[in-house]
This record gives sequence, structure tokens and C-alpha cells, in this order.
Amino acid sequence: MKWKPYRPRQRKLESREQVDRGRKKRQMGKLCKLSEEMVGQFLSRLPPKALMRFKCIHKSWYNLITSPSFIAKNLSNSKNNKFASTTRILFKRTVLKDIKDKNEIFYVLRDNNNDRRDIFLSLLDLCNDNDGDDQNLHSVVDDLIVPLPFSICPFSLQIAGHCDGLICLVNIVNEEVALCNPAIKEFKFLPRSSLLLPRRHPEDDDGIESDVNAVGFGYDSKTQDYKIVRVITYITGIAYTLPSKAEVYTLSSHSWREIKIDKECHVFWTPSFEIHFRGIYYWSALTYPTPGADKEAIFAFDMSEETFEEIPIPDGICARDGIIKFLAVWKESVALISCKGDGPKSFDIWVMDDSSGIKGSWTKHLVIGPIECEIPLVFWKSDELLLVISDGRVVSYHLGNKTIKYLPIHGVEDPQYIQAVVCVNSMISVKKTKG
Amino acid sequence: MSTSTDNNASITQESGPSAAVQDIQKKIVVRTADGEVFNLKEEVAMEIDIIKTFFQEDSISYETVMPLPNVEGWEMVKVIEYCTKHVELKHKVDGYKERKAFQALFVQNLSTKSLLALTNTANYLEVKYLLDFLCQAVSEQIKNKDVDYVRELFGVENDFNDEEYEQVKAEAPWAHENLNNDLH
Repeated sequence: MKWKPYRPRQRKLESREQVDRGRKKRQMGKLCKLSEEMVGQFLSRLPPKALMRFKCIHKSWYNLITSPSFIAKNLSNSKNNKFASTTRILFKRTVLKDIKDKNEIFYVLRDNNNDRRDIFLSLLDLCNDNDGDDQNLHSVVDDLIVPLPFSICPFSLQIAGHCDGLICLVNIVNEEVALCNPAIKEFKFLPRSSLLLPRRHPEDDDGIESDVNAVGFGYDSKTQDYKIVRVITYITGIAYTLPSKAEVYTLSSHSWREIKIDKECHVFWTPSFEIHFRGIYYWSALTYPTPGADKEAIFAFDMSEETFEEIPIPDGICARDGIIKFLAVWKESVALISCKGDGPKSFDIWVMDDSSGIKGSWTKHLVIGPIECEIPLVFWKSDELLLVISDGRVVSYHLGNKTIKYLPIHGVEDPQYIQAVVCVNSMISVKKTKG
Repeated sequence: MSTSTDNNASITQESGPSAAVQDIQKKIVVRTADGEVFNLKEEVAMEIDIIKTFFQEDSISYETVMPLPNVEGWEMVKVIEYCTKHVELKHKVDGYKERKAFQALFVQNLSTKSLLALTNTANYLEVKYLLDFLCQAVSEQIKNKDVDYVRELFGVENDFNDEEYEQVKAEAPWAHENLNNDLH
């Protein structure tokens, strides 16, 4: 086909005003006809704070924002956002209040004075594109105070998993469990279950006492429900002689239900270890392969199957030899980080290969450091690791450049009790829906 | 003289003393609501689904001028700009930084109202990746604005009475604090 040059037809030239008026009229008409679908497109990309505010704009917007399909779309955008300029991190840390001078800090901490101390869940947005010398890595910190008496002590309050913007908090002293969505400032305490027994009287040697051994929060993709699992051991006399029990709480039912547990494993809390990844919750534990002998391992719970599993760790990683271990999610896999206790730390990063379906096969991928720090927190990018340094400040360590950048976050407690998770924004409510 | 640098079928052009080496890609012509006419390169035009469908169904001849009564001239300019860049970057292996820089420049001189209009247009023209990008850009601009600003921007009337409004506001009073209503 021969290509002919195009000649436009001669049109009557409109005056500038006529063209502008016409355009304005069409534009106004277009805006007013903004369909609900288009409104939904904009809204579904907004962060929770904006959404909570824009509920006030119009009744149709309120209904849209609170609808389950919108909440799901908003969550999906949050998780899959290719355009995301920031990554949201949630920190659990202790902050002092009403401090008039630095000398007071020592006394407040020494005396364990709860009136002068708050435990914060702090949300921080870190800039994803931070190459170059831009020191401004972060934006506004949003703090949510964890209410007393739940937050009675920094070491007793732990994050027991997070998923889709929901965080599970446990107090290991008073055995309370709470579910929280910090982005929409919602907090809910779970009911006490029947598996937990009242405190045994000190004189009562034969009585049975329950002790919460492990708590984990995650997502069951089969039933599309959020679940909390709890393992309870029973003490009688001076030794644990009764078998453990386990129970599961689901967000949909708002209640606990007992489940089977056939593994005798003792979970021990250790800093920066517990994680939920792809429907499985992982704890640090001691297993007892033969009577009298114990072995460090990972204890795992499958949220869908509701089964427990013991996962071996690489040989040689043993606290008795001074090796400390941490667990993290790195490059879409479960990674075990090990280091020797003192001084500047070199971290060995092992990745668990679960392609064969059998868990517990580890490959050492990388050694990073040495870095002067207390504990690693979380990988917020595949090449950036958040760490707590000795004065309680949090920094971001770049694996490639070996450089650190300071974050406006610190905690006054013992650094090992500071926790951080990479969070997504969601509008998912933890409260019982009305009707 | 024919050139075969493009993927398109080569088209023979009469050679002659004044035959400059022209871009011999086919062109598609559209006319916007305000009477402006645009010649689009075929590969750019095919990024716009509504145009693609128009010409592919019933094999309408490329000589037909497609009317776009819902699109303004300035919007068409921007859409062509974005799609042209998108096509260019498709063939690049690592265009991430370039794309980011381009995107930043693209929205730089557009008011939020203009962005909104452009988003509507991208929706009408069916250019998904442009729609996604613009929706994100608008969201970024409105996320820290207050209720009045957003109502005005979207041309939405308040249908809550005072009492109802206070009730809804009370569900999350913290969400109405620390906002930024800078001119954008």
C-alpha cells in the first residue's frame, strides 16, 4: 500500500474563548460523571489514615471504603504495589516520658517505673529509592501507645506474628493476647481460653498450673482466615509431667478451639527469631531426641493444616558454643542468621530450601559484616538490614556498600527486646463486625 | 527506496530527488473533542486499546480519522508522550531509573485537577499502565489533604448532616489531624 501524506480538512477556526469554554464545559461534565469505579481506583491506593478520613466525604464513599471487596482490593494494592515509594516498618520499642534531664533515664530504667515509660508501636515509612547520599531515608513516625497493664514491662511484651497489617501481641507475664491494626489504631484483647488454668496457690504442691509456652499468629490461605495458635504446658509439682495442649483462635469465629499436638518440644523466646511466612509460624525451640539430651531446633506450625513440625538447623549452630541464631525472611525465603556473641559481628546467612517439600535443608548464601551491633531486626529490602546498635538506636545496613544510615528510632530497653517487622497497610478490622 | 529498520512490514516509497528518509511507520490519525488532529505512530497508537480495537475490528482503513469526543487536545498530547516513552522503554533492559525520572517530570506541571481529568481519559482510552500510574500519582497527591479539599476536587457534595458527619469523624478523629493542604 502506498503511503499518502494526510491533509487535514479546512475547519472553521473557532475563537480562543469558544475553544476554552467548550473545553471547560466538557471537563466539568467529565469530572461530575466520575464513576464509582474510578473513585474506587483512587481510593484503593490510599493509605489507611486517608481512607479513614475520606469516609466523611460522602455516604457512598463510606459504604465503598467499608465494603469487604474494597478492603481486599486495598490490601492487594498494598502488597503488590510496583510504584511504592516507601516500605513501612513497625517497631516495638520503649520510650521514656516526662524526662527532664539525661540523669533521670538511669533511675527510671533501674526502678522499672511504669509511669515514666511507654511501649510504642511506631510506624515508619522508609524511602525505597535512597541511592546516592540522601540521608533522609525516612518519613514521619506515627506512634501508637500500647495500653497498660498489657505493656507492663518491655521484655514481657512480644510481637507474636504479623500479617496483612495485623499484629499479634502477647504479654508473657499475664498471658494476655491482643490483635492490633496499628494503621487504623485498632486494638482488641482476645478472650481467655479454658485451657489456661488459674494461678496455682503457692502452698498447693499437687495442683496443676498452666504455662503459655508459645504463641504464633498467621494466615490460613485455605479458609482465608487469620489464626492465632497457642501451646500450653502444664506444670505439676516441680516438673512438667503432663502433655502439652494446643489451641487455635480464628478471627472469623472470635473464639478458641482446642487442636491436637503430638510433639513435645519446648519453645524458648529468643530475640529476632519468630516469624510467620507463607502460612507457617516458626519458633526457636529445644527438642528432646533422646531422654536427657536436648537439641536446638525450629518448631513450626502450619496454619492451614494445623499441624506442628520440628525443623533441624545446620550443625554447629549451638548456644553452648557461643553461637547466636536469628530467623528472618530474606529474598522470599526463610533465612537463618548466625553469629558469634561478642564484639563486631559477622553474620552467616543460611537459606532454607523447601523446594523438595522437606524442611530443614540449609545452604549458606552469604557472610555479612563485621558490623558493630547488638541484634539484627529485619531485612526491609534484599540488600538492606535493620539493626539495633549498642546505644539502642536503629540503623539500616546496606549489604553491598557496607554503609549504615541512622533511623529516627531508638529504644531505651535492652536492645534485644526491640522488635521490627515489615508491615503492609490494610483496613482489616480486628473487631467483631456489627451485624 | 525502502528501509527495513522497523518490525512493521516494509513499505516501498517512490524514490525521488526530495524523498527524505522518513519514518515509514504507518500513522493513525485521531481527532480530539476540540478539533485538534494527531498523527500517531502505529506502534504508539496500538498501546491505546480503544484505538487498537477500532482499527482492528472490521479492518477499518488507516485513512479513517478516528474521533475521540471525550478527549481534549492537551490530554492527547500527554497520552502520546507517555505511550511513546513506554514503547521506547519496552526494548531497554534496565530502564527503571529512566522511567522513574520520566514519570516525575510527566506529572510535574500538572495540577491535581488536570491529573484527575487525565486519569479519566486514560480510563476511557483504555491504557492500563498509564491508568495505574496516574491513579497512583493522584493518590499520592491527595493522601494528606483534608475532606473539603478532596470534596472540591472530585466535585462531590456532602450528603451527611452535621450530626452524622461528627459521628463518622469520631470513628477516627486522629485521621483528621496533621494534614497538609499545600497548593498542588
